[in-house]
Amino acid sequence: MEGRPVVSEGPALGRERTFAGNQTDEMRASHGEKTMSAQRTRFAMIMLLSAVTTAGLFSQTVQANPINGGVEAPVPDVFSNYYYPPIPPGPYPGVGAQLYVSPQPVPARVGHTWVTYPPFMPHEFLYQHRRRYVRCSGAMGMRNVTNAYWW
Amino acid sequence: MKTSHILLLSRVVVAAIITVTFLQAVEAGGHRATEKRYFLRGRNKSWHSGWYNPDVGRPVPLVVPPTAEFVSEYSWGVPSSRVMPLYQQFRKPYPGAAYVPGSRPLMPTPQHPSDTVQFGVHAIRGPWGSY
Repeated sequence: MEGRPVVSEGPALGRERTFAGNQTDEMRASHGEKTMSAQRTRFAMIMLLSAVTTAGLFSQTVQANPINGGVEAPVPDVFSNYYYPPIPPGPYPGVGAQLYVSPQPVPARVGHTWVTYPPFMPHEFLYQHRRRYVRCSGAMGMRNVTNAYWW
Repeated sequence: MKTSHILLLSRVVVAAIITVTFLQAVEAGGHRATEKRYFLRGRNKSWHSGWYNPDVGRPVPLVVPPTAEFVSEYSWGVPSSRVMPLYQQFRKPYPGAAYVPGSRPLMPTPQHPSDTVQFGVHAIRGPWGSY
């Protein structure tokens, strides 16, 4: 118990132990407007600091989501296939694989087949998802938006 | 009264910062962190084993949904089953020729298979879409 301040010993001591520091009631009464303005200024600064901090943290979260979770995908290239590359000799050597039988990687002058409508490709029906295809159309900056849902 | 207000406000600010930091830690690497991790771990790893399917004459890829993360393999003995991560996934760019020189020869399915990988059918995740 020695060395510890006794708070409940006198009312004057209790009044002086406020957040504002060592101001007394008389001082507070004489500078009431000044104290209120300082209080508002401090409150505004704290609110501004919290707003800036929160906005900065949330803006980083928003910027890390550039393509909307895969919903907005680029316009698919119908003349290319899906592959798994061959692995050269090493610890895990392997041959390559392709997903579909067409199109084959042949020169442009050679006739080839392809899937004409990418949303109907069978691999799209393997899981529940949705996608938005956006393609510019016309010279006036118009665009064609196609929403596809697989479920 | 003023002290309680400021204390409450400071606690709210600290709670908001802790919450946002926790959410950022959960979303570390972006919402595609799992896909990036699987892509990095699947590099330079073959999708098939040392056996091929004798009916087709080569290893057969089994297309599974891109949301699949693991495959189960079974065998006689111990362990009789194992769950392996499935890193391989079909992608868009043409990688070149399907065969590279120097690959080791593959073996056909033995007469009495002791493991499911000896059938030469291996899973590859389907592509995520148009990329």
